[in-house]
Amino acid sequence: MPRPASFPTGYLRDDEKTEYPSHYQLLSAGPPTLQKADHLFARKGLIWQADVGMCVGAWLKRAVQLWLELNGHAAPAMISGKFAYDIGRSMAYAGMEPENVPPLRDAGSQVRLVLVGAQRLGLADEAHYPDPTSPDWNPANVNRRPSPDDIINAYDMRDLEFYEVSRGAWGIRESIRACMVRRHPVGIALFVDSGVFANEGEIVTDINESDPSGGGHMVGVLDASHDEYAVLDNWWDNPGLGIEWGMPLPNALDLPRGVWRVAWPLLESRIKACFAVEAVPLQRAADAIA
Amino acid sequence: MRSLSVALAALALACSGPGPKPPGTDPCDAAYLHLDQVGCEPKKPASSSWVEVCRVSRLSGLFDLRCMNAADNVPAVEKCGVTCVGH
Repeated sequence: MPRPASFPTGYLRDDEKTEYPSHYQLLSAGPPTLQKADHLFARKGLIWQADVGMCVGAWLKRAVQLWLELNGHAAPAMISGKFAYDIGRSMAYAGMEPENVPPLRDAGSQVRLVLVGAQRLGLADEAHYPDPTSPDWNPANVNRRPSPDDIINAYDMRDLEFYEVSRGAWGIRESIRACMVRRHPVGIALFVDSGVFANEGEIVTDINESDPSGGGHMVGVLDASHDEYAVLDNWWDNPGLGIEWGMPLPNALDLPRGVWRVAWPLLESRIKACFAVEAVPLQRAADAIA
Repeated sequence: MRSLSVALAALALACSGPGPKPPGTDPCDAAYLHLDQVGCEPKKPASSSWVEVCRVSRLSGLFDLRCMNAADNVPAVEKCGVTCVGH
């Protein structure tokens, strides 16, 4: 299988100025409860976006999984990243009569619309709203809208809390660490180029933002505890395709498939956006698991 | 332009003239009433009402009502992605 000629942009910059809650609120959110900024031990379940531009939804799916795991839920449900992506895309037409909304396009999503959409409309269980990893995934549904039943059956996420992580006085590295040691999963958006596609496990130290094959992408931060690099989660891995796309295989560091190591100086200079999930409505998600 | 304005003003006057006002035209209320008329009680969400979810969704570009409003029986409604309780 040939490597894709170009990467479909999945992360879109917010189209309007938004005042997000800030990570500075962490100062009043209590002391750290993890020894180090490492969430690798809590990562469970394969997340794969296939060739759908749903990286923001995939990150939210991982963030919900990690948050539940990190906060004592042994068997968390996997929410649907595709549903999050779909409501984020639909939110771009907020204010328009739904009957007049044009067909969705698989052209990525804004973090703001995905997160606010989740708060407003909820999140679906993967078992009810298939992701590319689901047995009943149908690629023909890439641009279908959630049906009334899909929304009625969604988890109520009005209590979903998130915030933006900014560089602040300590720099983005320390800010990310401050979030992660408080069990808040972090996601970052950055441009990825064809060199990243070809990565085979070495530490990424350069990204060419002029690469016409590249695009905006959102990934999770799994381990920010190392001095040299951060370990990032990704959603491209699947048997076969992962190798063709150059995803790192298990290596001497015993890292799982589908992760990158990216040098901090590069990351610090290239982050387009950084968010963390502070709270997932526990009870309702737990009810849904039961 | 002036004649158009006059015509529009006359039309506005005619539409707001004396007599009973038309019933509320909230599309979600109307859709719920229609579902009731065809014998469908739509499944409720866990923490809200069907109409409320419909309203919030429509503010976000979702909950296209054309299909269910055109349906005249329960099987047709359910083809629109609406589960009718008890069916």
